[in-house]
Amino acid sequence: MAFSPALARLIDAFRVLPGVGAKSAQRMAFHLLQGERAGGAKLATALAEAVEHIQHCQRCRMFTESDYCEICRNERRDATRVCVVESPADVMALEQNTDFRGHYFVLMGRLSPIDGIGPEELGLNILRARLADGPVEELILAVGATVEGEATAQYVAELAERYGASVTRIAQGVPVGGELEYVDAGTLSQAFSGRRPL
Amino acid sequence: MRVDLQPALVLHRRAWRDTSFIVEAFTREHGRVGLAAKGARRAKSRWRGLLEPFSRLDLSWAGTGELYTLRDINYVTRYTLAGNTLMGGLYASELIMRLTARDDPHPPLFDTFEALLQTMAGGAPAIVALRFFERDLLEELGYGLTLTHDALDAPIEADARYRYEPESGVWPMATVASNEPSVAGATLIDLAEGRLTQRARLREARDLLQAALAPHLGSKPLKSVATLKAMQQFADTRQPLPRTDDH
Repeated sequence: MAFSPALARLIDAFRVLPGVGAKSAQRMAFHLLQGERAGGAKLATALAEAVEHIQHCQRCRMFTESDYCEICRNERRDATRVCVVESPADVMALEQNTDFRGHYFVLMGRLSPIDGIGPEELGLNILRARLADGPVEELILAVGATVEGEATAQYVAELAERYGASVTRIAQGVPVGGELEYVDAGTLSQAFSGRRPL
Repeated sequence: MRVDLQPALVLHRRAWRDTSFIVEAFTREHGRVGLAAKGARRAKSRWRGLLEPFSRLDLSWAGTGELYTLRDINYVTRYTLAGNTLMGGLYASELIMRLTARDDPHPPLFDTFEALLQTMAGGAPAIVALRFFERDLLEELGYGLTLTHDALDAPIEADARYRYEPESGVWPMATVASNEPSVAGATLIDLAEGRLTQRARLREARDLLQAALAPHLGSKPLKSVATLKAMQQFADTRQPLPRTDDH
């Protein structure tokens, strides 16, 4: 049986979400229509508002409705320390779990030439302007421990050095509560070569 | 098709669905293959961390069509690249992605690529190692440069200068205008014999190989080259720039 046009469009629209296939999209559509019409209307309004008003912070590229995000506008935060991360989710993770109270710069990806992602796609000219405007004393690289993360770190480090900012990178190693015998080979060798004096 | 423990080098992998990767691997006997690594991004996957670029693995896969299903990984080693060699490795991977077709075997190119990664991981300068890689890549793909004789079939002379033509090879030049691209015979001989040490000859070899690769790369520029160039600009500027509003 074919769905009515509106229902088919709704099901199809849900499929833009990651991990949602035809089956899940259908389930979501039926759920909204069966008993959650109010919730569905709320979702529709929130979605429409979000895609219309949310943009990138002009200073750090974080999502925001204003020109500058809340962190960048907060004068009590330390603007001389900038932490470079790959995604908005990383900002949230660092905010919740560390005592870092500086500013961020969100790349929205990582350097990956094969995928066609170069410095411009990551907004690194914005970071460059930020470094030129200064003063940035410490640039903290909190990027993933992948080849692309490494390439990104290297690029940003060279850029920052040019503007006289000191560059640090977050440590990699044994997870808290982790026992050595269960740590994978790559992590363990990285942790070992990155050992530090106590 | 079922393939067991095929020597492979990881060129690239990208996230696919919620928990999987699509891996582009360059294998010794099957060429470049696309593999679905199902579940490889799960926190507890036994493949976690193995499918990084520049890893040397033995891969087993099965399936038909564009994308095979990865069945097993035997970890051999990972070539750890940093600094210029990392960008060099990404450049070499991008060249292989662009210039080889899927399922088109090139065993000598596999060996050349592995030798390149080995050399660079051992700390050899990328700028030299990459030139020999480019030379061998062109050769293996059937676009090889003739470096011992000119287009008129006369042996290359170290003291002479030559002009490169993509179709016909290198032509001796009677006179050389200063703005005309040209290459010294000595550079051609060094490139053929695998010893490039002088700065000026390295630069000439780079320009020559770039000109030879260009017709095969099409109009879309290589992203790794653009990135590398931008980085070299930073390195060239030894002194920090004055802070200004002019960016």
